[in-house]
Amino acid sequence: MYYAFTKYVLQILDRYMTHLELIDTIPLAFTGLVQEKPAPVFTNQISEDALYFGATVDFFNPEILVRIRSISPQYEWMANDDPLPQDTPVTAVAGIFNQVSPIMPLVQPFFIKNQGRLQMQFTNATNNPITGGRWTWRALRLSNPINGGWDYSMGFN
Amino acid sequence: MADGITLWGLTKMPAGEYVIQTGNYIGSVWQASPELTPYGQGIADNYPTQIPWYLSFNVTEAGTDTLEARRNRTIVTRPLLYDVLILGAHALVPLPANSIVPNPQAFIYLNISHNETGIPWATPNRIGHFPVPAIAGIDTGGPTSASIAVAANSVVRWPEAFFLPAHSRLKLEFFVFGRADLPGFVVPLRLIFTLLGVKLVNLSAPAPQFVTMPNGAIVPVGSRLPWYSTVPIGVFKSNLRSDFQIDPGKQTIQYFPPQFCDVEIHGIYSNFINGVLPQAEKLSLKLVDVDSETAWEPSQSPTPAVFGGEHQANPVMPLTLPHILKGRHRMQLMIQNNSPDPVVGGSVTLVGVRQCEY
Repeated sequence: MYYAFTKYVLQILDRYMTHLELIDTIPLAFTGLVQEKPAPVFTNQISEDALYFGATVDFFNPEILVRIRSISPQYEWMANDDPLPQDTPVTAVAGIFNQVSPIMPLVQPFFIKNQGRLQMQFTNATNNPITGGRWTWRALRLSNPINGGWDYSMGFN
Repeated sequence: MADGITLWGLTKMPAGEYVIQTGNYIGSVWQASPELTPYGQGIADNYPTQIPWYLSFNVTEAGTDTLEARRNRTIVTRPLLYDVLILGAHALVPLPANSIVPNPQAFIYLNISHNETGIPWATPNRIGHFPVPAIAGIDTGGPTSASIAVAANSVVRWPEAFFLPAHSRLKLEFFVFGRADLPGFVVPLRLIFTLLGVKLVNLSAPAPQFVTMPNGAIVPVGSRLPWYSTVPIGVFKSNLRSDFQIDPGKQTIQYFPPQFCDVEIHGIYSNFINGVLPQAEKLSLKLVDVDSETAWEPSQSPTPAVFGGEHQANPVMPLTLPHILKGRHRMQLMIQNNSPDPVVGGSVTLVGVRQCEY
C-alpha cells in the first residue's frame, strides 16, 4: 500500500459511494529570478468533494519554498507565523519527479469540500532558480455522497 | 507465547495475530506511507479534524565560529493554538559553494526537549546531541550540488509520534561539530529545519489523557518519547566534545548511557555510512546488550550491515524487531577499524522510544 488509509481517512471515504482518481497539475509560472515570489496559485475547483493524498513537482531544486493554506474551509498548514516567516522547502511536502518515490504522501490526507481550493505561495530558490515549474496533486474525487457526505463539523461519529 | 503477554517485543493478541507493541511496522521510511503508530492513532482518534501541519524555521548562522562555544544555536518554537502530533522532520542543508566537507549535515547535531517536562531526547554523555540525519531527512542544495542533492528519503519518520499540547513549546538545540582534521576550518551552519505533523482540532473536548496500546496496556499521553543515544567512535583527542577519531587498526568499546527505565530500540543511524567517508564496510562491529545473559553476537559484522545512513531510503536501519533495553541495562558497541584511514568524527546513534513515564 502506498498511501495511508488512516481511521480519519476511512471515516471520510465511508461517506461516499464512489471514489475516483483525481490528478490536478498547477503551473507555478516562475521566470527564473532569485527568490522570486509570484502570485499565489490555486488548485482547480471541482464540483465534488475531494481528498488530497500526495504531491509531486517536475523540477529538481529543494531550495524552492512553499506555503499552503486551504480556502473554504480555511486552514493554515504552515505554522510559522514569525514576522519574517520561514516557508517550507518543497521537498518536505512533495516528491520530486526523478526520485525513486516521485509522489510524497501528505502527513495526513486533506479533505476539501466541493468548489474549495488549496492556495500555494511559492518562493524561487536562492541558488539555481528555476523557470516554469509544475506542481501535481494526487487525490480522490468523492462522488455519490451518503447522507450529504463528510464535513469538518462531523468528526468521527 | 501466551495471549496478551509481551515477551521480548511481540505480543500475541486474543484473536491470534502478533503485533509489535509500537505497531506492525518499524523504520524511518516516510515515503512508503506516513501511517500513524498505535500510540499516535490512539491520540488522533480523539480529534474530529486533522490538518497537515508544517513548522519550518531557519537555523542559518552566517559566521559559524571555529570555537565550539560559539557553534550553538537554540530555537524555541512558539506556543500553538492547537494540539499537534509531530511525526517526522526534514532538513534542507544548502551546501556552501566552495565546501570541502563531503557531508556537512552529518556534523550538525541536535537535541530536543519539551518545555513541559524538560526531558532531553538525547541521552546525556559527552556529546549530548544526536546527528540531524537521525531525525530528519536531508536535502542538500540544488541540482549542481556535489553531494547527495536530494536524499532517497527526504523526510525521516520518528520512532514514535510526539504529542505537542497546545500552548507548549519545543526547544531545539543545534550544535555544529568541527573538523578536527582540518584545523581552522569554519563549519557552515545553514539549515532550514521543518517539523511535519498533524494539527488536531477538537473544540468540544479536552486532549486525551491515556492511550490503549495494542497489547492492552493503557499508557499516559506523553509517556512515549523519541529517544536518541549517540556515542562517538574512537577516542577523544582533546578536551573538545567534537574531537574524536578511531585510527587504522584500532579497536574501541563504547557504552551507551543506561536509562532508569525501559527503552525500545528501533534502529541505528551512523554518520559515516554515506559512501564518502573512508570505507565504512571496512569497519566491523559487535553490538550487545551486556546486562542480558542471553544476548550475544557470534561474529563481527561490517557496519553497513547494521547501521543506516542519510543516503539510504531508510536512514535509521531498523532492527529485525524492536529491542527492549531494560532499565539500567547498557548497550555495548565494539568497533574495529580495518581500513587504512582514520575515521574522524564518526558517531553511532541508537534510535528508539523511552517508556520512562509508563
